Amino acid sequence: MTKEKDAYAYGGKILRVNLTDGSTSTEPVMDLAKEWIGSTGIAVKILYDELRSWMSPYDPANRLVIGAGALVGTTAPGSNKMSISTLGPMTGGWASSLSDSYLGGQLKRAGYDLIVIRGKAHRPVYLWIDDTTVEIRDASALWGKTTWETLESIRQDLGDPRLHIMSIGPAGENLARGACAVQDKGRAFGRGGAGAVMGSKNLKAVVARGKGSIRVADRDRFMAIAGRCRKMFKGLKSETFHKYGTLGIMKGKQAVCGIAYKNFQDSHLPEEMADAVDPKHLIDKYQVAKQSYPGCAFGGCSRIMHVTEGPYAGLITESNQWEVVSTIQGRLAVKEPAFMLKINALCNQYGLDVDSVGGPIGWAMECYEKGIIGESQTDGLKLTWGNEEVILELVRKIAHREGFGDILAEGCARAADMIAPNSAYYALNIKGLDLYEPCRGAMGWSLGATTSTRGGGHTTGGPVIETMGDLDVEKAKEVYGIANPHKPQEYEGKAALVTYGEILQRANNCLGVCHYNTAYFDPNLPGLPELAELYSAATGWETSEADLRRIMMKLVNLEKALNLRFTDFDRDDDLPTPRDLNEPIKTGNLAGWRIDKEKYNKMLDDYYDLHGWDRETSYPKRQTLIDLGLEDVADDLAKIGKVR
Amino acid sequence: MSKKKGSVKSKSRVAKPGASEGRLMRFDMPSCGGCRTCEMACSFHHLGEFVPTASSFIIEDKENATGCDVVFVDVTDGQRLACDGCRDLDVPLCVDYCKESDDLWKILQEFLEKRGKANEDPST
Repeated sequence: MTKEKDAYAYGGKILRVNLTDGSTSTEPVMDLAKEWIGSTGIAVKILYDELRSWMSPYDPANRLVIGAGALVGTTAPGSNKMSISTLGPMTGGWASSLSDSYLGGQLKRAGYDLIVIRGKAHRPVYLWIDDTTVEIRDASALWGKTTWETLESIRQDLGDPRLHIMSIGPAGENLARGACAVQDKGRAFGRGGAGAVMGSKNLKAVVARGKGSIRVADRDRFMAIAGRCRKMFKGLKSETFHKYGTLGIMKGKQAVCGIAYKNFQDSHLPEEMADAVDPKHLIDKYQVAKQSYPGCAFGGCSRIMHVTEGPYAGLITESNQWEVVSTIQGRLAVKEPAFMLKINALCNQYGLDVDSVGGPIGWAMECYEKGIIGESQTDGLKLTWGNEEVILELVRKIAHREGFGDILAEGCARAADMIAPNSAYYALNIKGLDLYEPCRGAMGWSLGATTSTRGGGHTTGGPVIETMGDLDVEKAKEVYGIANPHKPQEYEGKAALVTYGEILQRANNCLGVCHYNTAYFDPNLPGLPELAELYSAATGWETSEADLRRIMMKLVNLEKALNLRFTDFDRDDDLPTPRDLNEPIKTGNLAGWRIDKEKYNKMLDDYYDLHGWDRETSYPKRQTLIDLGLEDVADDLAKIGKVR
Repeated sequence: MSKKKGSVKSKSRVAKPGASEGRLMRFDMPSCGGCRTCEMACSFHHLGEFVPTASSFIIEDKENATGCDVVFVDVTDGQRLACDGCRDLDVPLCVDYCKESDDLWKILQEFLEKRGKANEDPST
């Protein structure tokens, strides 16, 4: 394998693929890496520079940027994340999603940090990277197959049962807007619809195998900080997390009213249901093996489950994450506990984002309940809450864009607009992306989710620690820099908390580090100082915490600018949904609590002030962009009147 | 490190010398989640770079069974490097990076012991 001379930590190259003419080429990554750091940072720079205003998500000219983070392939904690970034079909703007992976390490050891894909293949294809050999192979026989079938077929086709792949299922092929790519069988690049963009390019899968090495610039320094980070996981909450992963938080979420119920009519489950569907019971009963990903200092947040009883007996699958418990099990009021495993497996097989299943089906069930839509529109299906058979059938219909599923495949915002505009209130979305996050009762969490540049989402700024019952409060105050990180109903200081989250979570994404292996999850875990030290030791480029803060804010602004060029988002799109702004929490510890709109708007003002953005429009101020070295971006936005 | 009794079952398979894949010793590690951080650490110990294909052992998935197999490759075959037990370290690097470190430690010790015996007996 040929490596760039100074490619420490990085694979060294960007692979360019044009699917229209089948050509490939490579270019060095290092110049971009020095300024933009790692996969998601470089990706947004490439998208910003190369996308033109006449391009749309399904345009062959749209770019699909697949990357592995800067620390992927090392022993840095949780360093296994890959990303896909593109112009997304859900929001029409920046879409980026990450997944745990084995594939990322393979890609980097083959010498590539990113793959930039453009064009559209004339027939279904998959991309096969075997060290320096790059091949675009026929995937006609794979078209229509699930991601699970595709994995097995490609492993057979290429004669290596250990290969790791990312693929789309029928949902991506059929351009369901919420389609995602799935790594092997159980890890989704979930949000934003990148799977549909893959489908629009006739790209079924990406496979990589690399036998090269990842080097670090200063071995002793790197192993010293990697070892020190590892020790930070001793004790804390790590043993509980090791055992149950994100599925261990049911009681905590119930206590803070953080679970969707019946399409967010409430954000708290009936107690008997909460007890029955607590996923801890499933794990205790059905776990057959742990499942972990490279570098994870928790030893894995997942497990392989074998359901042996009930309607889904016989199912063997990687367990779902917490999100499914709220976004599908609770939102659709399903009482059968093992349903979460079944629906998660089905979404992974079809290649569908779980939130883009829960969102439109939740909207449809509420519309059905209220008589806004009827069986004449639902293909005769009775959309009653908790109806497992109907939900499973709707997922199949969404993936294949069949009948009523063709409408639901658009996501809840568009579905409401298409067949029942008077139901928009029940279509909970942010910037057109189906919302997963319960926004009442946790103001930092809400602000992070609703201002997210990729649409509703908590992985680009939302502070999960705000509702952690066992938070080390003093340490949290020190790390996050506010006095009340443990008081979720308070508004003051939360703009700063979200800004910290935007920086930390982008640093994680760029470096390819799982959020849960960092101060995102616990203030005693590695944070910005440790990430800066890991990156400095690995690359040989001295990078301070202040450097990380500046570069990550630059990324926030570039994502924002990309959105402003392709969408009409403004302040209104950074606010919670009308339901969240108007309705109180109905039951639980916070019964009766509702958002104070005046305080919320003041919090949003604070957020804009911290970013140097205009309060009225949300647009960046010219000086802000200049200070970040983005004067050319300010000029671009000035042409469309979106800089202040 | 505590020496608690781990759920480790050994089922070593020692191949004949000269077999193409070298002499293998396979150990069952039911607690392994398959993150393979140990492979990276091992290669770093030998080479100062992260190159898992040079690791002294392979973490192999099992079909429909719990955990993984830890397969030691006891030759220096041009690609993989023989385990030296990380003699220069208090704790072997693979063990240091394993969440189930007690179990991997036990497997490593068992491997080193069996290899020592195998080397004394040329018929194996």
